[in-house]
Amino acid sequence: MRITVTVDGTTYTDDVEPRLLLVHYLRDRLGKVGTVVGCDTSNCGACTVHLNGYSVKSCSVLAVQADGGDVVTVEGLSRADGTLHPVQEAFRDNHALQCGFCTPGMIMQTIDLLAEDPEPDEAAVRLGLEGNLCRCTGYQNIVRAVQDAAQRLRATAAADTPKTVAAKADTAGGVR
Amino acid sequence: MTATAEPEIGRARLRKEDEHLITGRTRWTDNIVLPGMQHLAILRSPLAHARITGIDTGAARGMPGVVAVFTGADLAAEQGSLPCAWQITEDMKAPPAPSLAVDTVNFAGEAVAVVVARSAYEAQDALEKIDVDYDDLPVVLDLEAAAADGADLVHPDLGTNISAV
Repeated sequence: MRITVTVDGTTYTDDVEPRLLLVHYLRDRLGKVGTVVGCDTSNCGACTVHLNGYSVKSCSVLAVQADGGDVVTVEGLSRADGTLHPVQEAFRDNHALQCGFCTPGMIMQTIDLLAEDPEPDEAAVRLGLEGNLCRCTGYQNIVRAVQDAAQRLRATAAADTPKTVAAKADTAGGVR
Repeated sequence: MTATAEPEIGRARLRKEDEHLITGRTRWTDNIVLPGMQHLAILRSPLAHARITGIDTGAARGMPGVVAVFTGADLAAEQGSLPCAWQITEDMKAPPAPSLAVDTVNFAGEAVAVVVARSAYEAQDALEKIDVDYDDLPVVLDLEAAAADGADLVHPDLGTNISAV
């Protein structure tokens, strides 16, 4: 089947097998290896990306389901000049990663969570990230990072008050 | 450096490696693609304890893209068993650990056969064509039951389920 998908701002058209998983399309066909496969069973969330503005586990989505869609991966978050996304900064500054394998999924899920709830309490963060597993078990700092990121995003939004909507869309990786 | 510089000791430092990890630009093993690279898929036992009475790999070998299929019997003579390099006690019982199960499987998920193919999907497809016949053996699911007198033995050759005390 022929699909056309926009990934991190670039549009691709490819012939794919109907059964090809989105994560394998991203990794093996497009070379977007920043999105990783952690478990192959949809448990771990390491492969989380955004599809049309919502987080999905890309091992549980067929590439053909993304036809005509807009995909954002962890590789598409920082700006061309290298400026990191506030959630990426918060993860780095709060030591929210050790081996870093779950981090792409954690960051993508965090952006989705904060778009829905800009001011989550600890319980809401843990619930929002329950589909993402960290085998280093560094959850304490991940929760801290998410709450720190929430604050950074609110500050950004407040600074851009007249253009709040546009600013929010931009800081959320352009997905909402 | 001035006399008023903040002391380095006791201060949190940012990690150098994080920049790559938070932007998806790390080289994981699974990211590496090499010329002529083949893909391996592993068939695992659905049973916790069973005797393998037969493995039919004929159909798998004929599947598109398949380069090779191996079972425990194919590798046993060459590979033997992974030795225990660090005995906890001198008389510790270490069960054999072949790369692929030979004759019996001793835990659910033990590797029974592998397919090498030109792509991961082709390897996975061929895996589904492998036919394994098992004869069920008794299972031990509980630590205390495993240590009790007369318990069914996971490895009868060792004479006990207790590895070391």
